[in-house]
Parts: sequence; structure tokens; C-alpha cells
Amino acid sequence: MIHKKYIALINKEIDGIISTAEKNNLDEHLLKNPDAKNYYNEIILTNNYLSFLPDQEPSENLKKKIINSINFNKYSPKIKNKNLWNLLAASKFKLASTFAAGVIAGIIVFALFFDNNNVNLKNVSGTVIASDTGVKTIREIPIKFPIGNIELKQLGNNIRLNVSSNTDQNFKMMIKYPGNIEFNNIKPGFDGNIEISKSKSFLQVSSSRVRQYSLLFIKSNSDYSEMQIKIITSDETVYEHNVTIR
Amino acid sequence: MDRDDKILVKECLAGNNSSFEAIVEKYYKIIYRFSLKILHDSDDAEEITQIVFIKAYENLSSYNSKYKFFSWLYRIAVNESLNLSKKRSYTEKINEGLSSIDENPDEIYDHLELGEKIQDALMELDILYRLPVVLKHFMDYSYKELSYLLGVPEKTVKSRLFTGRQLLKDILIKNKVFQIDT
Repeated sequence: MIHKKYIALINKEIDGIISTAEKNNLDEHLLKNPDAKNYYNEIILTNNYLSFLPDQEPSENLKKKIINSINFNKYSPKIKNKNLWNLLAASKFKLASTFAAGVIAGIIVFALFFDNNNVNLKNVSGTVIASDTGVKTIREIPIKFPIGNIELKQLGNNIRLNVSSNTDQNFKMMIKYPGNIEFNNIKPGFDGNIEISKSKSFLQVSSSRVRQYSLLFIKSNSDYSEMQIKIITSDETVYEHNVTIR
Repeated sequence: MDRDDKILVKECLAGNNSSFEAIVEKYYKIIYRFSLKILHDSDDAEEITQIVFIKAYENLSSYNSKYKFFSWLYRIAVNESLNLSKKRSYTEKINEGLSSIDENPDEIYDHLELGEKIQDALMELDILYRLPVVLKHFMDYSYKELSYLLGVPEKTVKSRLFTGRQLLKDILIKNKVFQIDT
């Protein structure tokens, strides 16, 4: 039977933390106690034998397996400022936005070229669309005046003026435009409440009790052009302004 | 925790995933080798290594930098090894009941290399003793560090380590791995 004290000292020696005094004490005890000496030799040998444990390498794909098994979203930075640029920076979003813009553009073009009164372009807006020739911008120019507003939308060479008034009085709108712009159509169409007079570079629309209509123009080239818009009601000019069309 | 690990952890918490990949690259072999010594099964060791890094990533924000990062990884490895060992010992007990093979120990050990004999002896040791013996011998952790890794007081660490060595000695003698003439 070996005293606990010497078992502790033997382990301290193995762990390299035995003091000189303790080592001398242990050595002295081992000299006098063959059983203790035998125990000491066996424990030291056991500890040395641990060094024979083989070191094996893991399989080649372990690192890959570890990386693949981790869901790396936890500390990924969140998009705090969801402005347009940040969103556009994501390539997936670019693809989705291109598709969405294409759909919007399709709706607008459909509405512009087909006489379908059910399509209300006033509620359609957009930013960029993809086309075969690149990217085109839909410009939106809001024009406000005391008795209503005009929403000017430009999609490429198509120009649309959505006109709203909040008066039942006679509402006269006069537009002057250069030779590269041509009046194309009016929606919801001609009826007894709307009168149109036009020349090559001038359009006058007089309306009564019609509060909303849209005017469609087509621009023949990409030159900068200027449209002069004038609104008269009860023989009084309430709005007059020039709008640059790109 | 060395400076490199500290930076890698910080970068990872800031969302830099490649920093965690660098941590994996740095430590996965060491964790694997430790797990293999404790579990003596390459599939189990790979499983433990995977779990260690998954848990390390998931709990990285709760890591206390007053401890060495490597020790923190080891602590996870120790806990997971204990968990798996509990599952395995349950299965082994069932298998033992089914086994009828009665082999002569001399014949078994004749064809084994010394390293394998030591590993087998180590596996006969209860995992509670196996862990401090392996950690102390191969990593040379202090009793205080072992206390953190094993989640027990230093007194318990010493008791398990000393008892583990003694039990391992007895197993090696029983298995005739060595015999000392007196």
C-alpha cells in the first residue's frame, strides 16, 4: 500500500511540477520501499507509453465537410440602409429588378400603343428598364398648379401627359412643341366634352366637366426638346411653364 | 488566446466568414486527433470535429476571451466526446450481450502494434479518467486549465488524473503490454 502523499508526488514528477525538496523526499521514500518503487516505475512507464499512441490524419475532405455544415448567415452584416443603390448592388436583385422593370415597361408600352381605357397609367411608375439597346429611364415630371396637376411621363421617345383638374369650369390647355415631337393620341378619347385643335407644333385641348385625360406625344429623335405648357381657365392663365424633354 | 485567434474571432463576428474558415483550417486536425484518441473511431472523431466547429460558430458571440480560444474549442470537444461516449457505451453494452466471441487476449495482442495496444488500453479506461490523462499528456495543460476544460474543480482533476494513470497502468499489466520484473 502506497501512501497518498507519495502517489501525489509521483504524479507531480510526471507533470513536471515537483520541487527539489519534494523530489528528494520521494527518492528517499522509494529507496526504502520496494513496492512504492515498483509502482513508481510502472506509472512512469505507463505515461511514457502514451507517446506511442498513433497520430492519424483526418480524411482529405473533412475540412470541406466542416465548412459546408456551417450556416454562415449568423454574423453576416444586415442591410441596414435599403436604398436603391444597395439593392441594385446585389446581383440577384439586379436580375429580379430587370425582370420587374421589364414587366412594368411592358404594361406602359401596351397602354401607350393600344387604346385600352381600362389601363390607368397614372398609377404606373418605374425607374429603369432593360431593353435591347440598353437602359432607358422613365422620367416623371410632376407639374402642379392651383386647380390641378399634370404628370409628365417619358419612356424613351414616348411622352405622356396625365392631366388632372379639380374644377368644373372650362379648362384650356395649350402646348407648344418643336418639330421632333408629334401629338399622337388622347385618352380616354374624344367626346363632346373635349375639343382639340392642333397644328404641327401646337395643341389646344379644351374641356369641361372632364377632370382627367392623358395626352400622348411621340418624339422622333433623342435631341433635347422643349415643350411649352400653358393652362387657362375662365380666360385667365393659371399656369405657364417650359419643360425640357430629353 | 493568442492575438491571431483574437483577430480572427473579431472578424468573424463582424461577418467575415473567411476568418472562421481560417480558424477551422488552423485547428481541425488537432481537434480530430484529440477526438480520435478519446473515441478511437475515425468516423466518430470526424463527427465530433464537425460538431465542435458548428457549435463554436453558433456560440462565438458568447465566447469569453479571458480563456484561450483553443481551450474553448477543446472544452466543446470534451463535452461532445462525453456525450457521444455515453451513447456509444449504451450501444456497446447491448452488443456485449449479443457477442459470443471468446478470444484469448494473448492472441489478440500478438498482432497489434504497441500504439494500438495502448489505444485499446486507453479505451478500457472510463472516459472520465481518459480525458484528463490524454489532455494532460498531449496538451500539457495545467490543473487549472484542465479544471476549465473538464468543468470540474482542480481537486477533482487531480484525483481523476492520478486515478486514471493508475488504472491505465493496471490495464496495461492485465493486457500484458508490459511487465516489470521486481
